[in-house]
Amino acid sequence: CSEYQKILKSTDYDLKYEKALEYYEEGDYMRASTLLQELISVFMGTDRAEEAHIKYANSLFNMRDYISSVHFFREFVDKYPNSDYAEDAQFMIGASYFELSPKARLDQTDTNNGIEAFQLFTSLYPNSPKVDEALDMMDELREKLVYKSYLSAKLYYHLGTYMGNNYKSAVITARNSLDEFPDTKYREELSFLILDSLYIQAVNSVEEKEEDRLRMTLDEYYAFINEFPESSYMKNANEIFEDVTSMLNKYN
Amino acid sequence: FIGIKAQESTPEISYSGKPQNYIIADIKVTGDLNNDPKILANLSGLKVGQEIQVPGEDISDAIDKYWEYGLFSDIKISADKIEGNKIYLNIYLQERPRLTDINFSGLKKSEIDDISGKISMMRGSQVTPYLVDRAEKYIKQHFVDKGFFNTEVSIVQRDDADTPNHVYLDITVDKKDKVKVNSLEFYGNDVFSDYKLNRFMKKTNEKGKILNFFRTKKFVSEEYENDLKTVIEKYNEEGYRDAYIEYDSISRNSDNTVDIKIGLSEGSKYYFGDISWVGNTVYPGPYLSEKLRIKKGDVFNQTLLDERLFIDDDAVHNLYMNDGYLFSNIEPVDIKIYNDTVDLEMRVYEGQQATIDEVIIKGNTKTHEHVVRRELRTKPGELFDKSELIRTVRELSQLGHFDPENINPVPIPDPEKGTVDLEYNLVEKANDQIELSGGWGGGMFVGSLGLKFTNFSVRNIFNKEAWRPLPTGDGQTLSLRAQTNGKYYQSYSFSFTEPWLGGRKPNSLSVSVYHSIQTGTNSSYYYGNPYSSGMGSYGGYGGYGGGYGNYYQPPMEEDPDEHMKVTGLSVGFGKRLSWPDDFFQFYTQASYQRYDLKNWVYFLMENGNSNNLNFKVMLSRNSIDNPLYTRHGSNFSLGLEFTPPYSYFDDQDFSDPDMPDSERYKWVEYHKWTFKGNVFKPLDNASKLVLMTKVEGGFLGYFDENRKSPFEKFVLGGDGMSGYSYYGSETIGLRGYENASLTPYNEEGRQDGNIYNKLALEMRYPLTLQPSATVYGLLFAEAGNSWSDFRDYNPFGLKRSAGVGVRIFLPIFGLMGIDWAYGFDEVPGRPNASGSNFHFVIGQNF
Repeated sequence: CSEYQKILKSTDYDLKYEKALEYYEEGDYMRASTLLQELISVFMGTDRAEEAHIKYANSLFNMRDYISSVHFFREFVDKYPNSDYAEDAQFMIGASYFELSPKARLDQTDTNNGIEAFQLFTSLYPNSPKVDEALDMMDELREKLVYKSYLSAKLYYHLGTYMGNNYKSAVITARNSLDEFPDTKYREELSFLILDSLYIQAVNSVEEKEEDRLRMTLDEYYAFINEFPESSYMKNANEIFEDVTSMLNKYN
Repeated sequence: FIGIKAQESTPEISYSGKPQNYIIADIKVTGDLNNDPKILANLSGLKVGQEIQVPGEDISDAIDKYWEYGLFSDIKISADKIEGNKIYLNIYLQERPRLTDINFSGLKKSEIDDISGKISMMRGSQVTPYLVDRAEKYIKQHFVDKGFFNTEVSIVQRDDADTPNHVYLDITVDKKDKVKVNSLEFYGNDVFSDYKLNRFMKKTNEKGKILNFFRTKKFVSEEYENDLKTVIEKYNEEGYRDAYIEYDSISRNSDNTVDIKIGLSEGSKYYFGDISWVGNTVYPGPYLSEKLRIKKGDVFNQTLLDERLFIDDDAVHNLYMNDGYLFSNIEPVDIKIYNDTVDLEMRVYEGQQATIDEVIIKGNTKTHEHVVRRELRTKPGELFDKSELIRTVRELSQLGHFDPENINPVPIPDPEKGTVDLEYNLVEKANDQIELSGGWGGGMFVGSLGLKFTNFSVRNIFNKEAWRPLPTGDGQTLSLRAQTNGKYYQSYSFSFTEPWLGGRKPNSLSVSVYHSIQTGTNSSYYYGNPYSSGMGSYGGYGGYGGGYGNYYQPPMEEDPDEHMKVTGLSVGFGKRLSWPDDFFQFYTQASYQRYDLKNWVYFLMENGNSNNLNFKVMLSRNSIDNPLYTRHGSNFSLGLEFTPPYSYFDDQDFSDPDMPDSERYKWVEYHKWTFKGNVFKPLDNASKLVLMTKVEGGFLGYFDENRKSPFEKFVLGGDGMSGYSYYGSETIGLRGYENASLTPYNEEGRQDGNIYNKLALEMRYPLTLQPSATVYGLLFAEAGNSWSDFRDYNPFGLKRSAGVGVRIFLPIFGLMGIDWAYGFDEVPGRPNASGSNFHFVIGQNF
């Protein structure tokens, strides 16, 4: 019978707590969490409850049980909004969602939850030393959302004319994403995708819409080279320009 | 509230004097305690060392806290001692008793299960008067709702002698007899006869009448109220829009029955008058009237009007809803009623057209988004279209990755921008299947292992992180299967399907490979197919063949000098068509099989090999709404499989009867035509009871009479299990007959089904449609037969059968089922083949 087993069975809560903190400091979160889980209810209504609670949630986080850690950090923030640990807990809600957030091709509910949690954190504790870290993580989550919409736009672009005009859908999806996240690192890709989609739409257009669409493409071209004069897509963009201007000749 | 109670030998606290401050020196908790005293002490919020005022708020606050927990029936806080400014507190707590167990009497097991889940009293939880009271009311209501109006419930709390402060609850329920309907009388009815009105009352029926034999005779007031509404609806449907229940009386009799009297005021019959449209700019009034399909002079039928306006697929409002007018509305208003005619004005609010802005996909925790998004018919930039939305939901459920009963599209309109976002909420469904089966037959073990992954991701196969436990999410199907009896038979198969080859168009590619080796045995002859299927499916949506049960065969010894090896490869390509309509699909496949035989006396030739290179084209149309429990839609396919007609260009003469089979069948030739059709139709309003009608037939033809194919024949009868079978034949099920029993034999004693026909009618009723299990029962009647030759073909000479069965779909195991069927017709030469037969089914839909 190990020492841990003895402690587990003991009813000496002070000892249990002391040992729990020891395990916690040593990084043995498995044991720490088992002890702390019990102590949270034992200490209900005392100062120690707060500490047991936050350390329990931290242990869960360190054990990568993020689904549970979100729950307990949230509960902590609700229960002890004025605690010294509340700031930390709010940050950790975001951090837990950050870990839960799956790759861009999957459901992004946790990503959105994470952004929301970090937003709340930065507005509640603007002077926290962790604000920079929160902003970085928030950015990463946002970029994931942009990447997701980039994939969607690209999919519509690739679907082409399958079951309707998918180029239009590609343009709308990419524009929505740029409106929502103007300073994304995918800005150039999204912008070129818009230009390219508009171009394909224009050259395959029915006659009465052709001129309009060509001019729209031309406008988009100027905006693009203006914003990305050094773009790696420049060659393709210029080809589009040449083709569009020559097609526009008959309207001038 | 008295904060501190004065007791003997404890310090006297004066309540009249000035409150004094004390420091808490100790807190003791007494009473019958189930919890740790320390925890209980903490609940008070009082701490040792804290300074409190006595008498004062600190103590009363602590008492309030205890009351709030609701766990205690008595709470007292007193001082044991006061020394100077130190106070020793004693908290006395009487905990409410906890529940040891509930004993029910007067109820059946199933009734207890029904109830105990809902009265929310668990062992170990505290018993409060409120909970007991609520339980009593709940139980009573539960049975009243079921027609037991006189139910009596008593709950007795009894101390548990073994555990302190614990109690038993003895719940005694006397349901008494159900209240039944003795008589049901109608007054004032001319339009409908008493008989008809009785039929309208679906759940309220007189007892003792033969007509009501199958109907419930209980009196349940809720059902009764619904039935009254139905009666009025029926009047409304016939134009009696003023009809109402003038009075109704329910009188109790001593024998637990009721007499019901219903007085009706029917009013007069109305007809539709002029129907005019206002507010419509998109469609002209006459066009809308035509779509409404209600003419002046028709009987005024409110139900029909609602259906034609809003509910039917081709309802008038859907003209708008399918063309972006998401905000539109139509309000029918009576503008003039004269004599028996009602003039209607349809007030149309069109609003602006809504364009789809964002399409959001949620709930795909496993399936990659593009697998879903590429299937959506609702796209950003297009006008909102309700019919496309409904079609999309149907197609998503066909994908098989999501729970079909739980696909929930939510339009989120933004009237200001004139746009709408569409959010598809999905729930992932475990769709991979494992088949592991074993059986004992012929003195040896026959085992098979099959794995089918329907949401595989090949590109992640080298990505370590994606193996959790398998790379998933790209919607590809991968199946692997191995089967052996350890001694003389082994088979392996592999197949892979990519539904969107290249990711730009829904063109599917399927590849499958299989190989089987059978070494000889000393058994003289056996027929049929002792092994279950070798191939799960050739790539389409088909089920997964399985091995179950019947492995019986006479004991055999292995003979290594004899063998038959079959190797096959097939590549298929599928394409969705947009003409004649976009439910059509075209599938084409090339496949090659090689049979390699050595000293093989059981089939065809002893030594040599036979090759079958064939091409298949199949045109199919599939519009079923849900692959697991289909309610609507149909599924048709027309297939042609053929080999090159070697006879037309090689000069060999095959008419010599002494030609060795190894030469005759070196390259097999044939053409094979198949037709299959299923139609599903719901029979009740709730779309639960579903009728499936099935027609199918096939014909195997030859190019040269002397070179008829020994392969690809139809084997009819039995459970129909197997996708690819033993000697390259196609197994067709016909329940009520033994496996393969309805197959003719040729002079050489080989199965020779070249033509077959089958018809089936099946009624299905779902027992549960949860994602964790889909279970339905079925009743069926079917008929079919197979023939060697067109000369014998007789479409009326079908063997008939009927039976019952059940199907269970579990996510991991796929579809399983058992049927009992009775074959009515005798099979010549097989006296035991018909009659009562049980059939096990795995992974296949009849």
